Amino acid sequence: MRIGRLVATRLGGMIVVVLALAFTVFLFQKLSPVDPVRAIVGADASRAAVAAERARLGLNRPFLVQFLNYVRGLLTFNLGTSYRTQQPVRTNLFQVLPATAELTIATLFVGVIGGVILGSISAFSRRWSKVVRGIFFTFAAVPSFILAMLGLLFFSRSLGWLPSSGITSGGGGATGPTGMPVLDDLLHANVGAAWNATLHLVIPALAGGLAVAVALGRVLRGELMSGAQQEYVRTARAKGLEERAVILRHVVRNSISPVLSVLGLYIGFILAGSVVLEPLFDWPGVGNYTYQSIQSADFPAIAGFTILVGVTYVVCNMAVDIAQGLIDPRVGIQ
Amino acid sequence: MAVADPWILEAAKRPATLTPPRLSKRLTSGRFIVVALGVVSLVVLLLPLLAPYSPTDPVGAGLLPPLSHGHLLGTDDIGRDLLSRILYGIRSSWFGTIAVLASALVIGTFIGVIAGLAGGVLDAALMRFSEIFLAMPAQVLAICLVAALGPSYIHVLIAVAVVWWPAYARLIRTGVRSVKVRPHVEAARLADISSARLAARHILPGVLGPPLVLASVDIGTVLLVLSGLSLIGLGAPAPAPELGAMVSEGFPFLLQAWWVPLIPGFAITVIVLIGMVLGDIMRGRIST
Repeated sequence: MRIGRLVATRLGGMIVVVLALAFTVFLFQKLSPVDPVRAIVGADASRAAVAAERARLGLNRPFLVQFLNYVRGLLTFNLGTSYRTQQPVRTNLFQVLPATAELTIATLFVGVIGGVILGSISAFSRRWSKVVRGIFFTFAAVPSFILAMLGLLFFSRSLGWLPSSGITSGGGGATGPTGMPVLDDLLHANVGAAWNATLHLVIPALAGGLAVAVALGRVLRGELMSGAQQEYVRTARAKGLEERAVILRHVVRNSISPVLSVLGLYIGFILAGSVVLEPLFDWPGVGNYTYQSIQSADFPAIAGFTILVGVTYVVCNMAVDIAQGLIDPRVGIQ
Repeated sequence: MAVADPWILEAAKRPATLTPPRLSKRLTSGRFIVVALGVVSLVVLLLPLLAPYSPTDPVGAGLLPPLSHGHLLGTDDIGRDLLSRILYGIRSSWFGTIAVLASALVIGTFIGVIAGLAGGVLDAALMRFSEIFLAMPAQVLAICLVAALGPSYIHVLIAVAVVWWPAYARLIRTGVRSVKVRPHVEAARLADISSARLAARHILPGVLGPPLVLASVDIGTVLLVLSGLSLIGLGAPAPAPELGAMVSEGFPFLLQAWWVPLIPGFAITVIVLIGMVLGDIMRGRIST
């Protein structure tokens, strides 16, 4: 019952935010000095051709009607036509989405593992706490592209352990249902190829994931330290629970919720960062597609990316909210 | 690019504190922040005087390594002096960041004061509006806005300021609501002064502390966002000495001449670190 109401309110809030996002992007499009009609038919098209294209795009209709048409298009994932590729943006994005999904999952994996390790060490280890806190402070200032370049120089050029670009060696591309090479190769029981694809993931995932690990570690440290001083923890100790059980069952469990919040926020950070990171690795994903679209002023493609990331971000944060409601009975509806 | 420090998000969501720090204390921290920023800005403003060469013209052989004769940090692929370009780049990044934060502060103050003083429907509407902004990924919106307006440094600054103000508006509004019920405001109201004067003279001085601290904590983050946007090709066009653009232009030479992309990258890291240290000092001053 409580969960049902929670889901309903969060869903309602999500719809409002997605509509606002659509309106914002629509407004940005209107602000643009580039005429979408000219961008499609070319600068030297005849007046009649321009008028016909304008009518076809519905640009001669009132503002509000145009917006409603835009939203109706979004409901069917119609994101317009890319100026650069002359294909629907939807088709382009769906082609490159699996590569980014794979990298994002790997980045989150690095972030969570790293964050839990760093957070626990800084909260519980007397000896290493200061060192880890130094890492927290310094690495918050190091941009992902620096880590990417250092990783390339060290692991790829000096040691020769890891490939420097691409998603697989040989460029065979994805072979299976998901489009993510690691998963597809595993599904086809092709362990060698899966290992190769995993090696391609290492540097980009580390470069992007370290910032997530640092942010997560800082929050986790705060939660673990304040959690360890709560009265219920004292009670648990007083009733004779082992220290390990106290930490795991009482302290850690209560720090999961804030950690989830951070992860939800960082989904947007990772996806926005993909525009910076993916081109450095020639990664055939959404970020690289958007980077190329930026170089050729392809606004429909960039708007498509904005909608895609915005919706993903909003959905992930809603999922986090609901998950928090499931694990923490205090999370309710204000 | 990085998102806001979780502390900031907490600060933005936090309800009105019942007992805000004493007024005198806030004013001194505010003054401290302004002085500290002024000193750093002055140093940054004068940095290009140290530049030995033009930041945009080729002045030597291409791809000279660091510590070459006459080129302390080496040269890039077409023979421009990296040190000179970086010194100019630091200046543009730093003042861009200050401009973005000042704009966010001004917009946030304006909206926050209106919401806090008006209350009721207007307050609710403005706060829902800022909430919606906070619920969308700011950097992606900034990318989209710059792409719509066309790449230029001014557009980058406008775009980041446009997505950056909501946290400030919420902080100001919270402060206004806690200050406006205090006796001195009541006394001023009884003296029948105008709302604008009430806001400017009797309320604002007491609420600007926390947003100023937030702004100083944000310096590092905004520097990162600006350099990220410049790196993906949304900043000033080609010859301009921008740190982010220097990284992406130099990247193809990473394996043969690591210094070309990496040194500008380190410059970004160093100024972000300086910004973060400044923010940390100021946060410490206001919270203790």
